[in-house]
Amino acid sequence: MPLNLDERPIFELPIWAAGQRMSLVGMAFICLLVSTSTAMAQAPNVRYGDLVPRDVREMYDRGLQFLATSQTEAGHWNGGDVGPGGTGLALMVFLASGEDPNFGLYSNHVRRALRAIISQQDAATGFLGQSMYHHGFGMLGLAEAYGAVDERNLWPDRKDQRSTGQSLELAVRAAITSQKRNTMGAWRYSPSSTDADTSVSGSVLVGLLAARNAGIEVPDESIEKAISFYKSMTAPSGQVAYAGGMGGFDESLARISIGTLVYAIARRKDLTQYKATIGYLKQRIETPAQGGWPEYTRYYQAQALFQGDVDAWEKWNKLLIRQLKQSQQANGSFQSQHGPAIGTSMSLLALALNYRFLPIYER
Amino acid sequence: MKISRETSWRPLKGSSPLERGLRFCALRTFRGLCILCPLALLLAVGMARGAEAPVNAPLTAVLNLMNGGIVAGTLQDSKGPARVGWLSPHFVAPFDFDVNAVNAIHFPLPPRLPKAAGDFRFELSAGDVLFGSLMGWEGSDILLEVPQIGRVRLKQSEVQRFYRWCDSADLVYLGPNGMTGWQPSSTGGKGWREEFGHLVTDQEASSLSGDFEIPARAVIEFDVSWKKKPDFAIVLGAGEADKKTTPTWRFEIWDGDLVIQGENELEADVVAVQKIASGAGRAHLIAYLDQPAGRCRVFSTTGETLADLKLGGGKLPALNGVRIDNKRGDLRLERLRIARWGGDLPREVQTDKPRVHRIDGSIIYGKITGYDAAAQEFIMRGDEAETRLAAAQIAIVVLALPVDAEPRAIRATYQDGSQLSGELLEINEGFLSLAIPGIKSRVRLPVAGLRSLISLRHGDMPPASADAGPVGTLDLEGLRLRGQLIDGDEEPAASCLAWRPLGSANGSPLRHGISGRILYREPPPSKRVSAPVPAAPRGGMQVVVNGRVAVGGAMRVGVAVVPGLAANANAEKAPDAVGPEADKARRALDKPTTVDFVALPLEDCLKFFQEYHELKIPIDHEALSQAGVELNQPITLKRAEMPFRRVLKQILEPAGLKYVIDEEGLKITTAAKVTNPRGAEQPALYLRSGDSIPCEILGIDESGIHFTTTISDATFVPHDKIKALELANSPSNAIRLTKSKRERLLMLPRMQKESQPTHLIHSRYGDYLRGRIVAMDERNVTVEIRLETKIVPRERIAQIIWLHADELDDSESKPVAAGAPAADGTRLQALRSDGIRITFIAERMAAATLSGKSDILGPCHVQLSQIDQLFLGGAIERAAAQLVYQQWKLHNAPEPKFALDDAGSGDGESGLESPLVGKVAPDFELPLLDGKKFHLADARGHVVILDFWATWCGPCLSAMPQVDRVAREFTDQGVRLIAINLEETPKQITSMLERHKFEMTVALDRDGGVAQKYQAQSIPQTVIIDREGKIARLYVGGGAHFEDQLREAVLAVLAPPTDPATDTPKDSPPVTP
Repeated sequence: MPLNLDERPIFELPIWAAGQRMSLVGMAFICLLVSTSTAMAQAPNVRYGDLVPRDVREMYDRGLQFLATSQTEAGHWNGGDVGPGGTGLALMVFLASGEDPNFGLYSNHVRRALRAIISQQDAATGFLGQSMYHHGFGMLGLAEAYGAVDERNLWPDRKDQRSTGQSLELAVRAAITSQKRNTMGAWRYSPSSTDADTSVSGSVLVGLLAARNAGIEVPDESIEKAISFYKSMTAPSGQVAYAGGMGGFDESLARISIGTLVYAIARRKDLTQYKATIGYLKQRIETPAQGGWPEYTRYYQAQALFQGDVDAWEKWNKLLIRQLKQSQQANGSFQSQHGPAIGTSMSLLALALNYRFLPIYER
Repeated sequence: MKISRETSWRPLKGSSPLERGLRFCALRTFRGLCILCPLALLLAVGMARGAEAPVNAPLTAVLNLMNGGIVAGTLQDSKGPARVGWLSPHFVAPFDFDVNAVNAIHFPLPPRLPKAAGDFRFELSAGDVLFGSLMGWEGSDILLEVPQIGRVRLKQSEVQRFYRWCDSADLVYLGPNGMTGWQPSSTGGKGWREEFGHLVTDQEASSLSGDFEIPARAVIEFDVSWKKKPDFAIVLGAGEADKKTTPTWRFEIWDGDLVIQGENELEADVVAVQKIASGAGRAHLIAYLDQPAGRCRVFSTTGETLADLKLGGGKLPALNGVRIDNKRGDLRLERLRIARWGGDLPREVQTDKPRVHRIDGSIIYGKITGYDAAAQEFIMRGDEAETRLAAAQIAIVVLALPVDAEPRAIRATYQDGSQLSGELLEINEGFLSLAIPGIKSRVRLPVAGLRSLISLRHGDMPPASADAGPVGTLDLEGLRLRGQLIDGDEEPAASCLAWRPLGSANGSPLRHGISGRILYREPPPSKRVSAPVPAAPRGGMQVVVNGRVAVGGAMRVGVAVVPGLAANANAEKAPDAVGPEADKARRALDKPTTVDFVALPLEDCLKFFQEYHELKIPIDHEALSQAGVELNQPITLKRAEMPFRRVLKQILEPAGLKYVIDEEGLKITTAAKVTNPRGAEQPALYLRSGDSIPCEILGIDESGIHFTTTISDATFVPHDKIKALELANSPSNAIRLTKSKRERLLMLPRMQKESQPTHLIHSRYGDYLRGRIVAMDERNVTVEIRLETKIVPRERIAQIIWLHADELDDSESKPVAAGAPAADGTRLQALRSDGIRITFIAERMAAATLSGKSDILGPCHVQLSQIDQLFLGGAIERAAAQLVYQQWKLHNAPEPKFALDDAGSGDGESGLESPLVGKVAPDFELPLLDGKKFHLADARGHVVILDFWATWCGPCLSAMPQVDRVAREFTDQGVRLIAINLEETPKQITSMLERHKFEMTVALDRDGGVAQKYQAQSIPQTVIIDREGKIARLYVGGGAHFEDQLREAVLAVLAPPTDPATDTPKDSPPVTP
């Protein structure tokens, strides 16, 4: 599938004012400008990537097919730990595919997923539901869709429905409220939890950073507090602990990747902790993901390595492609303990670094 | 202990060649009256009656051919006189063997052998035996009633003797009956075979053991014969693993004497038994062995005492087992009888006269001429009058001396010991028809109950058919047949491979699904990766040969070992060159040469030997340069003494060189011509199925290898089928790969488990590189090493070996790609004499050519004349697994101990798995660190947590604060923590507690006794004991989340039993770290 330069930058638009909607023509115009200007900052091939390998395209397309055919009419997926977070991840898979989100092959699926997340949101609190994991990944999905999906086509009859921007703003507010109550300055499963862990917090913090990148106002203080939490959980070795008072450090590549990623997206590559975590990851690009959630590890590892060291990511990516080629099922899905929808979404999003269409994947 | 033969030599007693021997029968019924009556006897074949079937008895019927072939199967109706029909389960149709081609057929035996029935045992000429009743005596005919065949009319002249039949319960072994009951000895038993049921060998240093009981007092009779000068030993008491030191009685040839030698721990003695002349001969002896008394007396078959050997110095322990060692020459064991001995010795008897032995032991000489059936009396006509003898008083009747009987073709022996021999007329519907001399009508014998059919005539094997393929040996399970492939086509129930064994009038197609091989020519031995050569000592390079020292140039050590086809080193016979230099060279080759140590360049080494042996060692420089062999390559030799030819071989072979003797002397030339028939630089492809295909390599891509080959039109093979690629000859001067280096090269580190190297690249200079070959074109190889892409010029690569994930030692997906056998058809692998090896599904055999289809090579045609070996079915994979390249397999690095110990414990454990849970906690009392004491029984009513730990145990120290926190939370509810330290001093403990600021009650399990009671094999182990004193939970291993786990467990133990389990939060996490 040849890349369409006209489509590509749509997903790379970093800045949209909250609630602002634009015509497609306008978007395309602006994004061309933006892409040209930011391209000055880094080598174009890093930003856009080389030609995507055929293996990746075939694998990605088969996975997309699985997600497209298994999506319910209501826009979510069944089986496993699905919910707004899972829907948010799958939504990103569609957005990262390079297909036009408004008129392309999967535009219906994109709108359905978006509607599912928005409809599930608590109108009063902004909580997207189920747990803060879901809230974080749902918020990330919203942020990545925001500005890319034409709001005029989102709802069939759009009376009193929240727009993507409104929903995202509300979700950001819920996350900040939850953080403020949290003694650790971060997040845990329940919005009202007082303790925190680096895994849940990763999903929320990346969601917040994506929202901020999309132009939603996120207080610096909130980001700083969360980053401080990560700093306190990062060992000089680069290992990242799970939660205060709950066991020590161990080699969780997932958490070390989360640490690396949040430091990088928060633009804190200056931190010694960042250097420690990325150093740790680079040393272990061949190390198999431990524990029972390899797709979760790979999802973060892909982004962390890409953000931290493109050469290391390129090596790691070869291994990823080989591993995923072996584990993709006949129907295009990837199995996981959290069900095929989440396994497929996380695996494809790890691969999607090859496309680099998602704003959050920008370096 | 060694004894001097001179000092213990005793005068020889009797020594006469014994043509035919006597036999002693112990009649149990009349023991004390008529024991040990000597009887003349022909060679006989028998067995222990009513005994358990001996070891080595066939489980299915087995046919042995005269040419050594064997085939298990079932006897079929014959297709004519003197023919044997035989169906092997591997074949579709039965074979039609010429009886002259058959050596023997042995049938399976029932668990207990049947006893013979009848009043008398009749011994006929030619060794035939019948059990039955005497029904009448009509002139020159005797009428018998025999259970197997009914009424038999027998010529009286055929009956040599008969005796009252008793069940022979004293008999331990009577044989031999082929190899049944015998095993090749661990010291080497190849070369024994059966002939007419005898055990025969003409191989040097060949032993056979029978694990027979030897009673404390035993009669052992043996009859051995030989054609040339004998040199053997028959060892009684060799049963215990052939130990040389076992006390034994040995009959042995010492120079021209057969001696008996006895040996126990304290004494050894030897006595001559009889003289042994050179040339053909026989020894038929009866030994009376009294083991408790340490005495052995040897008699001739006529009852003459030959030797009497008595050992002092205590008794021999009871012996078991018999071993026959043939040291040199040939030997034939015709008869061996082992029986319990009542203690009476034989009397001398006039063996040359007809006579009657009565049950009271008395002997009446004279010939029985009739039988009065009504009066049950025998009639003996003496010189004058007729004597009548009541049958009930008769033990043995000897009618005639053995005479040379009419030759017979075949003998049928039965499980009950009866046997008959004659010409085979037919086999039909479960019966054999024999024409037996002395019996007028043909005798119909049942096949049921047969023990063996033994050929008594040496027939020539019928010649191979001229119009079929070459003669080879087919090896299948339970089958080894020389024969030929004949034409055939693949059919649903029959393979296109049809085999005609030599000796069979017809051939039959094989069934499908068989596994085995056809061997046409034994291939030259392929050289394996051999043992490492020790490195030369630093600083010194020298040759020390027979005390002379030579100093050489720069030291380099190493011998190339090349796997694969090219290594099929094939010694070439030196041409018969003439001339003084050639003669000198020949002489020099045999000279013993002591090599102390050699580490020299090859050329210097040759120069040294040239001077040393004063002969010319010219070098064929042209051949060497063509083959690219360098003369400055280093060679090493280990300290040894050997003929010069072996020294030379060790120097030359690793370098791919050889010597030939010509007019110039000992010429050094390259061995490459014979080692690699494909030509030195011809690349070859080796598949996992074992195939080796000469080819030109076009390139490698992500799917496989693209190539062209002269042997087929195929151009591609996928990666999962490939094992190796040889692009060029291996380096001749490469650094040797030692075992440990090779281990390391093939070890997969844990961190690379998901990023395995898939190829091993062997450079022309001897280096190895692990990686993943991504592509290869005519110039370069793109290889990914630790995920980094590198380009290597193709010309530098000698070999590439494929490392497949499913070859890993603990791979779950074992032989998926390793050549999964095709479901149907005749799968073959042909190994050609030129080293080419191809696997295909055969479809047709015609015009001495096998045709079929390979999934890689497409249509295949192989001429039988080109084939060395043909592997069939599953044997393909077994043979392939032995090939050199297939030995290159990755293996996983061992898991660290902690990971193994942790498996199944820690987080996932409920604490309920231990068998101790639910049982009463073992009570104990231990001193505490603070000087007090803790007695578990006193803590009844409390929940007690026992934490087993030690200061050296890191995981314990990380678990202890967790346990302590939990215990403190519940102190007010009666929870007590006792940290039980294992076998350490208070000083060690106190300093650790202070350093970690731990405050807890520490009990001192000084001898580990309490830990043992609680089965604490690994620590930390944490035990919760409930208020009733029962073990409620037992955890091993601690872990990061142990505190939460323990807290829940303590809560559960504290909670009243009726309380429902604590709720788990509803929003279970979608993802956790």
